[in-house]
Amino acid sequence: MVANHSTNQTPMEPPVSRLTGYRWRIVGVILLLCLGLVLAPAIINNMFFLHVMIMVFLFGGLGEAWNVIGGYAGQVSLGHTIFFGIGAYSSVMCFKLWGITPWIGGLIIGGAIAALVAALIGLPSFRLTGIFFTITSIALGETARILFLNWKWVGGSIGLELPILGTSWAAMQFRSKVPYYYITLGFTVFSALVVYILSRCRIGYYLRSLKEDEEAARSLGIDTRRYKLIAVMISAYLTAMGGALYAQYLRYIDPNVVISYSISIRICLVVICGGVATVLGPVLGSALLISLAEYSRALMGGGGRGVDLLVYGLLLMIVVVFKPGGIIRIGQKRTPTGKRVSV
Amino acid sequence: MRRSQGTGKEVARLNLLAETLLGGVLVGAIYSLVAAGLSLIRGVMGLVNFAQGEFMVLGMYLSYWAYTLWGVDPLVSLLAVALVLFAVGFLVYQILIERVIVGPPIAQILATFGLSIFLANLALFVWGPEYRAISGSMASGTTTLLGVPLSVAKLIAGLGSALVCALLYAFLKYTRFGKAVQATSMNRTSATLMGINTNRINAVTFGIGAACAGIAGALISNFYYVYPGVGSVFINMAFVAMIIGGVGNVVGAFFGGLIIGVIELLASVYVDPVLKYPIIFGIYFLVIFCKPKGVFVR
Repeated sequence: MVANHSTNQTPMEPPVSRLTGYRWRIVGVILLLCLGLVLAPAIINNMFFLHVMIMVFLFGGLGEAWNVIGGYAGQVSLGHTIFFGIGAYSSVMCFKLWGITPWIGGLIIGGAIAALVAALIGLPSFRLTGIFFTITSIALGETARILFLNWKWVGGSIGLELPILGTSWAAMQFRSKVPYYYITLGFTVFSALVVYILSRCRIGYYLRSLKEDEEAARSLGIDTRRYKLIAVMISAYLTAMGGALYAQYLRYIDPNVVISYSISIRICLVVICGGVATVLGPVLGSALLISLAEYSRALMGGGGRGVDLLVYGLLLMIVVVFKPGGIIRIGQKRTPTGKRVSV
Repeated sequence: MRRSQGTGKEVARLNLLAETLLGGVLVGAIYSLVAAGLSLIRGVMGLVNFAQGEFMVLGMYLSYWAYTLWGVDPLVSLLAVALVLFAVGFLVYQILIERVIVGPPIAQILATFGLSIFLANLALFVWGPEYRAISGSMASGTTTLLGVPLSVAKLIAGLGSALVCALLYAFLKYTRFGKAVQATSMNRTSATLMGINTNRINAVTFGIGAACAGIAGALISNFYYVYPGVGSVFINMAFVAMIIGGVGNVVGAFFGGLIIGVIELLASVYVDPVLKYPIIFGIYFLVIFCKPKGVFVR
């Protein structure tokens, strides 16, 4: 009632113009950042810097993918490594067996397989809510890892190695890191665009509504299971793309590298810490967390002894307690309704 | 002659089966104890504690260091470990859980999840990734039970876990505080109206849950490798045990743990050791999709 009263008193004009001004400023900052990122490799020719940026872009894009199902639809999945692994394995297997270029084998076939698997897993899993969905996704990820470890056709625990062909766009292999830099940058921008479009069309609103109150959403005639399925399929497709790019970058994959619980954790944490259900949150989270992880690993030498995950865990607790909306919401006022923003 | 050979084989096969079943029950009792703590916390405050496995790891390291540094046998330091873990759980509740308990369920998942990552990697950071083992403690050597050879450490761990589960059950059933815990788990609002300080119940319950995990860790440190990642193995099994037994049902979690232990050993002896986790997860999927309230509920 109080909120209604105050909105009635203030005229409509100022808030709207302030909002557009704010938005223009954001657009300007993003454009400047993009320009800087595009030019960066020409100025800073440091291998390690490029590696860090590639990982930041990769996990930024993966975070955007996770954001569709985990952020907007509120289904916290800790099994996204399945889709990541499917992308990586499809890309490498297609190239090794049939010579299909990773651009198709990974980014299209891998994505399609991952989306199909996501639908098959999602059909029963979406009957579960909250913690049970999360535990089930962990169990599914672990099962997938063990099955791949013992699946001889895809190399089992030995893994798969890509033949080294030097620089070739068709095989998505390069001696220099710069092309990978631009490819992963493109992946992040593409994922962010998908999320931006989704968040502004009907399905984005459906997902947000079912996250807030699934019963209420269903009573308004939203087929919540259908939209959750669509969301997880989009999310899986994008995640598989990331997996394929990672495989091309590493040129070697095995189940413990691409289907591991720690990949699921990283994908999820990037979004939670950056800002759930926002377009820029995952990218911001990735820029902070992944660069922190890579630099701390370099600093501590070799093992690193999990110091990055140590910091992630601490950060996650702090964010959940003090800024449940993620770091991107620091400095932002509360939502107009005055309600807390749910994670 | 052939006949006696046949019976010899038969006896060996029966012995193997008995050994597998007994071993399964003993391992299962440990899962039961971890799962009972998990289920108790979930029942009382509706929160699944992801850090339960790490509490167990903490218990393992405490008893390992007590033995290595001061020569205190794990069975002697057991009570101290339980008390330390109770205090840790109590403090964690006061510092972290209390702030998210009223928030959205996802915040609760993420808070304990963050705690779990934090503790696991803290152990890795402080103590390194080495596999450590206690040798020559009081509980070593082998014995025979019902004609089946067994390691004393496993026997003590299994029986000890079962005993602690029984004590937990008796505590909930017969003490005044236990009844208050049960009342809170049944209906929080009514319990508050009856004058029960439900916030304190929460804190103590969280401490008890952590102590259960700590005791399990101390008991298995006699024969299991101590390393930072060991918690994830046990937490997965405890999740499955909790789901099989029905969430929030401590007795159910106990039997769920036994079932999982027996299945694990049967699968690794008669099917293939690498397939034991897929089989257990398969059972988990079956239960959660077909009987989400647990197999003991009609």
